[in-house]
Amino acid sequence: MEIIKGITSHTIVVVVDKKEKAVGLSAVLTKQSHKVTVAHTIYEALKIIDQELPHLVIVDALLSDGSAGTLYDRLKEHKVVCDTPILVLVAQKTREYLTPLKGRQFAGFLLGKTDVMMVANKVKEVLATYKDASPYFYSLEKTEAVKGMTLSVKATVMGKAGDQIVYRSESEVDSSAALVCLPEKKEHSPALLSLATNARIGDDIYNYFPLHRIKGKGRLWLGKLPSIDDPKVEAVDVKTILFFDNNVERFQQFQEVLLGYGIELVHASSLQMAAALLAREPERFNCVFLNELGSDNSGITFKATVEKLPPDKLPAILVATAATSARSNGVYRFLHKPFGLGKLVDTIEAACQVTEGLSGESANIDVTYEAPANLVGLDETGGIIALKFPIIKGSKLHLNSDVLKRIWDGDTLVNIENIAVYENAPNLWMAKFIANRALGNKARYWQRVLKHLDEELKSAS
Amino acid sequence: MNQLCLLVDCNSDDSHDNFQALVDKEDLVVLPTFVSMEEAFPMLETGNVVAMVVFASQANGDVLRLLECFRRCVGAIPHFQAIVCDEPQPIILSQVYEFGVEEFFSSTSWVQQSLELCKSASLIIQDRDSPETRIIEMNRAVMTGDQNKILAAKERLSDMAGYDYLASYSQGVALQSVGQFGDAIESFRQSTSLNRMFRPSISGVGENLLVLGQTDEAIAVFKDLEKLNKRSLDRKANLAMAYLEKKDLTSAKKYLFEAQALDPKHVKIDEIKAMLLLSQGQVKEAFAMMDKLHDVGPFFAAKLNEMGIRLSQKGKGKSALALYKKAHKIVKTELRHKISLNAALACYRMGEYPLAIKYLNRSDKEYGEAFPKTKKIRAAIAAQMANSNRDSEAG
Repeated sequence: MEIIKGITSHTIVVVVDKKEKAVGLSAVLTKQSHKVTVAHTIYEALKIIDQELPHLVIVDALLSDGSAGTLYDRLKEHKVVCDTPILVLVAQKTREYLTPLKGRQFAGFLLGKTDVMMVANKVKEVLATYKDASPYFYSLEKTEAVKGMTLSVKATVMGKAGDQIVYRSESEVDSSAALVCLPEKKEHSPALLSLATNARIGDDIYNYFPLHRIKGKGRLWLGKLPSIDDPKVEAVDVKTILFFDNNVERFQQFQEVLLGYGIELVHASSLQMAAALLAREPERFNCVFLNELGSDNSGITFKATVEKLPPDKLPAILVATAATSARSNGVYRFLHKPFGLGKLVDTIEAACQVTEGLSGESANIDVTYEAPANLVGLDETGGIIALKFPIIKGSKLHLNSDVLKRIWDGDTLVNIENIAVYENAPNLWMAKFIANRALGNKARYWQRVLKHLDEELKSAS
Repeated sequence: MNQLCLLVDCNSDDSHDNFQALVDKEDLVVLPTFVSMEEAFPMLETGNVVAMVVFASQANGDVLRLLECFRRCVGAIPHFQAIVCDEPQPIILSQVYEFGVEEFFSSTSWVQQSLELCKSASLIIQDRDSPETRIIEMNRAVMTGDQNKILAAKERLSDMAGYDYLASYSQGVALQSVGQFGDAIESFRQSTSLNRMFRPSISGVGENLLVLGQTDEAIAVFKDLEKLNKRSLDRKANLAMAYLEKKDLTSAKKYLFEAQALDPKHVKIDEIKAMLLLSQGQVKEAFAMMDKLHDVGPFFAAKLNEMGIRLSQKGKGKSALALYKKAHKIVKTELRHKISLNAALACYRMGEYPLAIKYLNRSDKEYGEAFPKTKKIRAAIAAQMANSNRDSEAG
């Protein structure tokens, strides 16, 4: 499986004598999505390299406690980091600078006064050989040992709010995800959940799932949950939606179709108009629907208006988009085109619902969300999984596989660091995760992983 | 045995090859097959299709008829169907949602998404206990018309009907097929309570109310659905029939014209026209119109049966038989055994016992086993024949 471009952040250790040089280099490399750590001496660098297992080291030819040659020799002695590429910044073409570099295979040299952009370009060139994965990446794609892996998130079923079932969980759930809800108690059957909407109330994350989309036997007990609707919030028969669509004919069709579901549309023929209407009467709208939100002037105007509004007055904003990589966040929820009518109506209704409050006694039933995931491979920080739906960056979840349990001593918690979709395959996603177990010394962690993998793969074959 | 996923009217040769290359790498139970719109209809009727992806920029009559055909021949499984269309107009969304279909693929992603559909359908139909497998089995039973098979398939769905709206909908279809219209209404209502958005089950309630003669209630159901989609031919046809039943010709004609404007080629248009002609006593013209019909549902079938019985009771046995012959050709498979039974009764009334027995045999065959009512008629025929034998011997 091809690794998606940009999914892995490369780790770079910059070893330079002057602080200002480090600041300039760090800024440019961080902007290129690399993780940068700075050292000013060889001693410091060796400690950091052992800790971080960088994918590249950029080093001044001469430092206060040695040269780039010294660093090269020390790394060559180390089994794990011996192949780390080193890029040398040579300030002057003098014997003093060049002699310590002789006879060693560096990844490259940059001569003369350090030009930050030149360094950045050279870095790009060197890292290109890794093809978007960590140099430590260990592919497990063709390994039977991790087949049938699932990812899971701990959650608690709260109750019913309108036509939605409300869960409190450790993570937001993307609307296109399909998850199996596995209750802890056997008396409750599992169910398949889909089309999630999220809300954050204080520190808690709430996931809402439309009841009529829940499949499986678990639908029986979920349907009988108590209502936790806030009695102070009056249910509205007709929902008013601020609707931006620059195609009048299409808008009129939407108006006709949605009216049957008690959804009344207020037309904005441009984003500027939508921004003006929203700024004037934010309370009037149960939700805002935008048919595309560009990054041109009108898009910027709209976003600026939204930023100015107090969060408690801001209705949910739904954006229909053809961009496959658009991911929902706290303010904007994306509905990927082309979508069906049911999804549109459910998304609008859920957006109106989650802005209303929760009250009443909650059912508090502990469950786990589970979904299949493919382990593409492991690296020194965690690894890469492939999924049929996106997960939200920053999500904390567990990867359930016997092999991983053994490697990680039972601590299967991971943090999603990055997520990307395959071009032309909007239902195939890749996520880079950081393993909880890998948070300490990476050299020691990786040696341990390699030893386990050797044993596991041997026993599997 | 492999099942098929139809890819209907795909014009892109490049993507076609790309797709085929991906399919060849997979071990699929549901195999994708490229077909034209014309080929799709007979393919669906073969009973080997379980999924379908239609390439369509607009929901024209052909596309809607195809979705209708899928629902009839495969079952109400919206997630086994998808439309490839980049920016579907809202009206199209609403039109295809009439069948519960809400999966749209874009022209750039259909290759991967269609493959995923085939993979997921392959997994689901290999599970003999999945609602989808049982729904397909049930629909195939309905297609044979065998009442016992239908009831057995309905039983296998019953444990899922409490939590799966498609299972309860399909149970309603099964009950409607065996003439248990009141129970069918209950199943459709259960499906609606599980998913209020699924229009076919709401429509099912209306159609069965209509058959049971609860015309005003049926009209109320259809009118509520009209608010959700004013462009459903099926609904307009149902409303036209309901108003015909109420003898409100003005309203009936209004809905007939509206339906005609949506798709003049649809068989339902001719069905309403035939009913309209019959209601106006233009029997000859109605008969001519009926030649164009097929897969006529329980409401019109019941009307034809009623008319035949009236003719037969009035001593117009030959006319009744002619009507039954025509009706037998045009009604849905699962309704034929009743037509055959009524034809047998007409023959019995005319004293044509050998012909009556022929019709009874056909009725039993169509029913799947000896239809309880045919036993009584057979006994009556046997008694009549014994009497006439005695009379002739005495003579």
